[in-house]
Amino acid sequence: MKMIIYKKDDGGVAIVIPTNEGLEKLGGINNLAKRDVPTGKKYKIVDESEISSDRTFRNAWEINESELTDGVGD
Amino acid sequence: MALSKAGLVDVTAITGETALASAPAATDELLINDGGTIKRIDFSLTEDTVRHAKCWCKWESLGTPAIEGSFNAASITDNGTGDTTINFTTNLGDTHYAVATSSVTQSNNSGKSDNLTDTAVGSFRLVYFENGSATDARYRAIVFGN
Repeated sequence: MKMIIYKKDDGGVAIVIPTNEGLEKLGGINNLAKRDVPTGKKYKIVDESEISSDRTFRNAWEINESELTDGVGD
Repeated sequence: MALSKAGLVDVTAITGETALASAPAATDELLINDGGTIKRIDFSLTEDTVRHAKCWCKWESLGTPAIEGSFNAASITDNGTGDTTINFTTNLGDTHYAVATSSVTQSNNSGKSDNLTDTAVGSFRLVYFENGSATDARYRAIVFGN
């Protein structure tokens, strides 16, 4: 399962989890990312295994914007 | 064979039947026997899409967020603890839709609330609280609207 991450305005990290319906109807994860990531936000497509399942400090997660290299939200 | 009452309809006029392979289209028609008179019902007259759920979604964020079932949800966005945006596959007609939600209590029924915000034609956001704090949980949402 692939997911999409981007940096929120408050500096935290948002994670977009696609549905099969979304992937099918929007034509794949790149199209879905462009649509569901806020306009102008850089994003990266990552494997689910790269997302921590320990959410104890979820609101403190950070991402360096230079790592968000897969596209920009439309 | 539905039209078979002797003396009221010509049962020989229909010689076979075909099962629908999917839900009837608006252009499909249904013939009924009304006291000897055959009436034709256009399925477009039977559709009442205002009363159909426009979206439903069951998801959880107790570990890595996961969607367990959905309709008209292209994705969910995990914004942080207890904070999720549901992104519709097909936008709704306006923002005056109603959302019914339920969240599974994790530790404390006190101060429990589902806070719906940022309702747009393409998405809505739900933040779940227990005892005044945003809390990860299991959630369900159903949307009715235009």
